[in-house]
Amino acid sequence: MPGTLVAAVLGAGGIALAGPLSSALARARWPHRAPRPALILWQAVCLGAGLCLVGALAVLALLPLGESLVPALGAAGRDLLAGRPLAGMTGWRAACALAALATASVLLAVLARCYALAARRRRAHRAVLDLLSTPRSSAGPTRPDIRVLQDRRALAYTVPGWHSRVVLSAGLLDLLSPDEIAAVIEHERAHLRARHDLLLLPFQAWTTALGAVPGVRQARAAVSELAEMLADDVAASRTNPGALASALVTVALDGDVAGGTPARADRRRPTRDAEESVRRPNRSRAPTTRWPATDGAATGTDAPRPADAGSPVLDRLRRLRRPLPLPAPLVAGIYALAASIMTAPTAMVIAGW
Amino acid sequence: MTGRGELERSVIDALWNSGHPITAREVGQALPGRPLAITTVLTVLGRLQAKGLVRRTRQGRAHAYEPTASREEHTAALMRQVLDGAGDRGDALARFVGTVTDQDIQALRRAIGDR
Repeated sequence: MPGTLVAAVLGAGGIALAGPLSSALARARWPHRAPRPALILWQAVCLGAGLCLVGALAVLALLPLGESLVPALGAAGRDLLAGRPLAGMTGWRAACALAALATASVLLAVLARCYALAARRRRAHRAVLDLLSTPRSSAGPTRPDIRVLQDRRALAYTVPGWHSRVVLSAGLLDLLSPDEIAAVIEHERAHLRARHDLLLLPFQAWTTALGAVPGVRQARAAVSELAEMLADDVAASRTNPGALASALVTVALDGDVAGGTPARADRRRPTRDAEESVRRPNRSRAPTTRWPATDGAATGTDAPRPADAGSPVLDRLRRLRRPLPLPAPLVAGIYALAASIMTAPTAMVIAGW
Repeated sequence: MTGRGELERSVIDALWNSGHPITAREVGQALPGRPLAITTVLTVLGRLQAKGLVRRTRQGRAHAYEPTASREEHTAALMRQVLDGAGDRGDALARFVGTVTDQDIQALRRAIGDR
């Protein structure tokens, strides 16, 4: 293939992956039926877009130096060592070489910075958390990695990293039944075991760096929703889907009261507890908010209203009630697609022009 | 002997419970269980100080220690990090249920209320 054509294909591929294909994937509904392959596909799209764009620039720069990437890079390296950097490249080809290097380093630097900042904030968070919370002691051995925080809101979250933590608030423990609590813990542990934070990292990094670019935020939201669904699947298989669905509904509806007033700076106000108990007079669940563990397929999911389409909690609830996993051949196809998106750009520049 | 984390927690608990600056000796007395060597208490206080959680003031010939912020302030700060974490900061403190909008609530109520 002529070099300019390779560069054009790579450039078009990179733009397509970063633009229309990403937004199509963010809008698609099928990923909900196969969160794991979909997450892998997202990683492939992200990596593939970067490789394509850098590859296109590199091909334009190296075209006159050799028949394919390796010899051309070798020639460029020999020129550099001989003290004639960028020899054999006309002005605009040199600019392409610099642009390729700059793009690659900016992408990697943004990623590294995002990771370092997140790790630092998590370390600080964990240091204070460990002082404020107590290890959960219930039936069975005390689990030092499950911490209970004295807060009236119903909250569960994870602090990923080397010394990971699952954090449950006292409000959550009050609100949920033991079965539901077990399901929530399995959900959170699934995040930690599979390091979902690392899968989210590139998308979080691009959001920080390129949040204004259309589609970037949607991609991040789609990926983090998929991670929640994947954790739901693991928790449902290890505990039971009914308990998890019930926990989801109960916590979300409790968020109506609690999450709506997030951590207002109610500092130094001893009356806070009294106020809260007035604001939420009845902590016990109304029967209507219970989600029976048995009866899965009733109403509601049959006629999805467009207005409901964008609600992550409802999406998660629906697929717990009616699991509809994608058929195995389709899943295999998605993995194959992901593999080819990841390898094609590199293969093209190595194969040469 | 309990772990290092537990020790730090009981020391800062003693400071939070006291309400006014206290010396390392008073901290040691306030701790539950077997009395600790004063040097151990001082080591723990030093670590807490390095983490910015405790500050030290001169009181006569000894140092008095007090927390830099109350337990409630720390909890509020933690919760803010968690609840705002869905933003762009990338802490990846994944919440079981993320931000729930009024629309979500209505949709959920419809979905479960129809039965």
